[in-house]
Amino acid sequence: MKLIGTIALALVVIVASLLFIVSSICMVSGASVAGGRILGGVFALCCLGVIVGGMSLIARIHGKP
Amino acid sequence: MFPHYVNLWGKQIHPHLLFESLGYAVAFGVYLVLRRRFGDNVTAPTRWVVVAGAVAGGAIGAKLLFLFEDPQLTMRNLQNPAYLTGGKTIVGALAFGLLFVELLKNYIRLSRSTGDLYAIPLCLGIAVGRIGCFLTGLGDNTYGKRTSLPWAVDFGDGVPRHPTQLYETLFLVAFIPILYFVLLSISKRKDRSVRTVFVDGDAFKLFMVAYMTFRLLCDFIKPYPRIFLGLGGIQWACLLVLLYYSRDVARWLRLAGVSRRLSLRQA
Repeated sequence: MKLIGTIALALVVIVASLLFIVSSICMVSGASVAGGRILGGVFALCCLGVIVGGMSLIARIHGKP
Repeated sequence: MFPHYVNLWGKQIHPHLLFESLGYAVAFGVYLVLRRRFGDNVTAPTRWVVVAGAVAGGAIGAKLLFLFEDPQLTMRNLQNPAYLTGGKTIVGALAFGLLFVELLKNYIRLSRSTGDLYAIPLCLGIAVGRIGCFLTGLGDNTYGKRTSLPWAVDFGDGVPRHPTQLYETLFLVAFIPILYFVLLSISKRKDRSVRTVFVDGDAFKLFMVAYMTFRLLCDFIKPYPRIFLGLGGIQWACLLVLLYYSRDVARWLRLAGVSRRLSLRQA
């Protein structure tokens, strides 16, 4: 159960991290419009929340008392 | 003509998107090959924890250090979410990936080195990704200063510049055989079939020291703002990482000196 939980959480964190990176304007420049960029900022913040939450849970699962 | 779009099956793909994705894919593939070749020194759950920590730290650090590249510009854009979340830098990804993993390892009380298998994949992944930076041109902000050298590149503004992205690719590709030799030495040391100065973790440390030294020097020929004592934000981050590894560099130099004296005595 611990292994499955760790793998699932790690995958969520990795996917969120990649999306967070992809959201950079450097990568999508030329394809974004002004409104899209603000949405991109909100999307990046959501990804950041998932990363921080996921890492906290992973640390809690593996933390030794 | 920059950015130089790549034509794939009739579709024009942005070079940064293509080569950055290719970099991730190549790095992951090479990591799997190396893990099969050299084995893993930690259990599967621990590896997942370490990978998640490295990727999360890397993603956050890449963006965080970008904000310190030009602090004045960042201050002017504090209300602009597009600027705050845009852009990224590899030095930040490596430094914060390292920081996250070390903190996580400390929290779960893991003292074993876990980074050796990442050294060559990182080297190759960055080398491939930098080709995308080069083909993107001025928009990527990774170009060099004006130069009269014969291999200078005009990225579209009429100024012949250092192709610093290609310097980085060449440096990293040339460094891969050295990292492979170190990985091999560590692996043979475990079998006690060879004496070497390298121990577990040294392949990753050597990659970090080499890359940070390269970036510290290479960024002098990039037109970035200098924030303190003539150094840019990325160069300060490189210096901090080099300081973190200074004890390991001293150990390599000391052991290399001992090894040279021994071989001279035997001769």
